[in-house]
Amino acid sequence: MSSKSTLQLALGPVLFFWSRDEILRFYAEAAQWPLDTVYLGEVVCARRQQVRTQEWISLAHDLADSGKEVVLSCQALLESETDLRRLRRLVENGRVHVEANDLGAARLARQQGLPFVAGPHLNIYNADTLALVQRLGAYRWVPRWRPSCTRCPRASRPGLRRYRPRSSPGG
Amino acid sequence: MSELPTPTPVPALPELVCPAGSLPALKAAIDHGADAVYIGLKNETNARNFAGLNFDATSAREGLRYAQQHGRRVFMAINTYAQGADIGRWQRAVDEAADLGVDAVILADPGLLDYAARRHPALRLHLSVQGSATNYEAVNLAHELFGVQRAVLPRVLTLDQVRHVIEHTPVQIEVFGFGSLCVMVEGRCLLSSYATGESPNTHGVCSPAKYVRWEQRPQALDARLNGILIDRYAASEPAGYPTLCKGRFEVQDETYYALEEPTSLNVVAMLPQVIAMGVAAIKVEGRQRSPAYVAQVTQVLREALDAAAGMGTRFQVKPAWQQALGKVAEGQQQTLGAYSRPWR
Repeated sequence: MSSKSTLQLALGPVLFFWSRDEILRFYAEAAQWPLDTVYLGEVVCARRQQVRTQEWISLAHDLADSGKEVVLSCQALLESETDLRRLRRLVENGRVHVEANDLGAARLARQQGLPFVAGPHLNIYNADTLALVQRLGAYRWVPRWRPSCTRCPRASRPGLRRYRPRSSPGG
Repeated sequence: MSELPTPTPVPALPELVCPAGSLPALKAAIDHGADAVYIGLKNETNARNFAGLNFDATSAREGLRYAQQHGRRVFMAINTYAQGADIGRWQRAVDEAADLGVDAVILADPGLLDYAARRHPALRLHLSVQGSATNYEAVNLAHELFGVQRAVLPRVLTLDQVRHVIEHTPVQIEVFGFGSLCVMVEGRCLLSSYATGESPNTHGVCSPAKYVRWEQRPQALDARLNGILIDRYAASEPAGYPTLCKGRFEVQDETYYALEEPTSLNVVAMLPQVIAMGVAAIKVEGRQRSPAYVAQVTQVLREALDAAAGMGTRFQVKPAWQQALGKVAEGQQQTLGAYSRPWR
């Protein structure tokens, strides 16, 4: 999969708080789309339990049957033992890779010998850290999109543009 | 009065770790009972990169001398994320800390932790709160990879969750005891970048002062950050620093602290539990604050910690402590923060 040289198309995890039915409908459709990779799972909030961990895993395995690369995205903020238990079930799903969004997830994937995607919520800001994460087992990195007034094209920040002062010394 | 039974041995008192944004602040902390102080260099390698703050080699040496003379320790925070073509600045900061002979460096960047562990194997490593380790798996990874000996936990966990981390790691755990509170998870907040292009992770500063503009209007004072209106103060209101998340914003025709009210964390009321669970150190936030703030907070926490030592359930919070802390609290409000979440 990662040896393909052509540019691939990936679908990121749903960050919205959709109902279970909407989620299932969405992925039933996504299975038909010309995607190479599908990331799925609850990344945002531990309290969202519309889709249970086991259902995310089943959904991931079903999607994998459609021939796509499937990656289970892990929660960004892991606070409780319940969070860690869910994380372990994802890492031990036995079939598809995971996207680690916390160093704890990277540790579990490494222990399991499971290659993983270094997700956007890991703080990777330089090549040394990226190399380190690769040594832990990362085979791909999803860089965080970092909003930045000074570095991003202005067109990508329509909301901010109208607030921008005429001159911004030091900016 | 009969003695209460004490079934469990009383753990050693947590170390009191206080902020020093300047040499006078460092001396104030030590004079008022800090066990350790933490400092940073005058550049973007630390998360309190404000103009006029922090240490150069000369003042750091003087600070170390003063601390050692009093038997206290000095930690150096190099806790932003190394970036750009030249990450050598962060590596040189670690080298400088090792040369100065600080007692520990406080780091967040995994690549930099790796560098420090390889280059300076004798240098004690603390995982910064900016490292965002909120669970023991993350803390233990830092221990396995870099030999991290202490981790500072982000201010998002309940007291029970802090205890759970302590029970599952050989790494010492440091928690915040007092100081300004943010709504975010340390090391993961992008809000300041959204408004200014600079954030604690990237430039060591949230809502940087160079983007702040004050505009006096006939009836009000406006505070803007990179042009964005953060707050508008009536003549009778005290104006605060326009930190992005602590502004008043208009949401559905209502103007209020839409993200968070300016508040200070204060764990004095919970000190017996914090001590009993084996917390290694209690940290005070505020390297950007004055030596007077450092002196006041250090003095109160020293007194409270000493009073709580061994007293268990008989510990009582003195109103004078809370009054003294209330005077220096941001927004003049105090909270137990995430440590207590009864609504869970």
